[in-house]
Amino acid sequence: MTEVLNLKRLFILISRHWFENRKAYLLFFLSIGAFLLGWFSFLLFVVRKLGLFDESGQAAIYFFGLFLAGCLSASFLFQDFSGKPRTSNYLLLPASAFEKLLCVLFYGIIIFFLGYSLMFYIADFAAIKMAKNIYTFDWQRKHGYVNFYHTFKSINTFSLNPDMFVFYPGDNIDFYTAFFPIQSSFILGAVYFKKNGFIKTLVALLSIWLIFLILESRILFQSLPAETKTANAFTAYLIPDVYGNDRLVTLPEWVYHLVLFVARFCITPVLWVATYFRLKEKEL
Amino acid sequence: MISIQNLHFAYKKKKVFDGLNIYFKPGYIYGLLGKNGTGKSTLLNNIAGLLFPQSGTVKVFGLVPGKRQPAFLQDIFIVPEEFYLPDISIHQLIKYNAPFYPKFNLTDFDNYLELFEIPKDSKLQALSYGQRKKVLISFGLATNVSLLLMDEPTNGLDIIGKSQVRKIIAGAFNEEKCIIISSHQVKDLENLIDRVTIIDDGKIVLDESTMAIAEKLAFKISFDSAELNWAIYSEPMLRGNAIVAVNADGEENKIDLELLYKATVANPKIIRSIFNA
Repeated sequence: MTEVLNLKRLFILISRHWFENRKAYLLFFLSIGAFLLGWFSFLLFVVRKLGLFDESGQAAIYFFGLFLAGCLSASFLFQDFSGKPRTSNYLLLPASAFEKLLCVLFYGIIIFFLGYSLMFYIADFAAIKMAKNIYTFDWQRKHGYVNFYHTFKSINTFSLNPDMFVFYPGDNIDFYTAFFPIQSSFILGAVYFKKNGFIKTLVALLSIWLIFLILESRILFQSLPAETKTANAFTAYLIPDVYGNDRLVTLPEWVYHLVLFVARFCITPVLWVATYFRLKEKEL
Repeated sequence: MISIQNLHFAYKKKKVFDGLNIYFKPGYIYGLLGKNGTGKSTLLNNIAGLLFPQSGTVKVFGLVPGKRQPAFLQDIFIVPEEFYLPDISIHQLIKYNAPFYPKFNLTDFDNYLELFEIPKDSKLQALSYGQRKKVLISFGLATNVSLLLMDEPTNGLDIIGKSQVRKIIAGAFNEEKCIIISSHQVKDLENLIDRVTIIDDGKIVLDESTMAIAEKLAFKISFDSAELNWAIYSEPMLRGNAIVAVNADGEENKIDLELLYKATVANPKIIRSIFNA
């Protein structure tokens, strides 16, 4: 077992990684904080639209930043493979591939998530405070009285109001379900591709998505009447009828739940396992 | 310690090894000699587990290097020709890297640095290339690993530095260790190695101890033109000729590594027949 996982060695590896990369991490999180503050300031002082500070507006910014920063940072997690000298140094470090993977996942997933969320909430808290003052002042100036009933509060990204959700109003989609598999794809891409991991992974994911769409249109729509329309993307299809007897073809409930279960709990670990094997077979 | 059998290795279409067989034993400092591009670094990288053979077996301490198990990695160290050191101080380098090597000896490391005249409180990026290489060599030797691989360790070092490296390596060596030093600057290894392995076009053309070489071959400056006729290899000098010949009298003589290398590459069959006799 000590050949695969030794907690003491893992701890040393994590400390070493932090020590060698701490400046880059601090700079990265500060950049995220600065970017978010800049964006919030732009919305506050230039756009000046009250709705942007609703739950849906905040959630949109949170998830947009989470996906962008998460995928970008994941692509740089294996900086140790940039060039032969660093690759040699990293591969010959006396720790197992599993320990090296755990170290990368610790920083890439846990520390990134905590760091990003912390930066977001700091920026969000400051923006909400400012929004409250600015919009109350605007309201008072326009309407001449003090009472302004709009509430400003920071969001809880784990418990969003589905009806307010900005991307798919009314649909209770948990964006974390998509985030972790996508971020893990970029981690795999970082170890799989020798150069330009971010771009290549992006192209690979878009290609997979395109193939999925083509398959959907070729297989699914060809088995349904020509006039079939999408009622709800990938789950429900409407077959209109001139006499009003429209028919709705839906995926069975269990298929929907199965896909959701796979997305939530299976894809990410499978991608980690793939990263592990890629790490093991990595050569100079 | 290291057993390589029927090793086949190629970079895409460029074949490097085609059925290589060689053993490296503990208690020796091997000089792996060969010109650029003959496969010295590729051999070291196969031994270290940084490259995987296409076919054949490489075993080090009975383990497969390509698996890169911690038990294997903590008992080998490679000083590559192109190396990476992070932007930290020497003290921090030790703090965060030495714990991975159970046999690391801090006193040894401090002594090596002192011999190299490198201040212990230096930041690595503030040091010159040669100084950083000396820090890496010191670290590698202080790990006290059983197998130390050094790829062109004297590249980029000044004359004093090269002699310091030889002195320190010789001082750090013991019978339980195996050190393989690859170099195309053969003069740098003189008086250090006790076994010579010459590689040419991916093949081992000579693998003998310095004792056996000194016993069977004579290296001398000859002023007698008749001697040139029976020399295995000769090259003109300012005065006379430097020759490699069969040591028929069994006289004790000093090996000239450069001449040995040239003689072996020029006449591999003759050299082999002398040692196989």
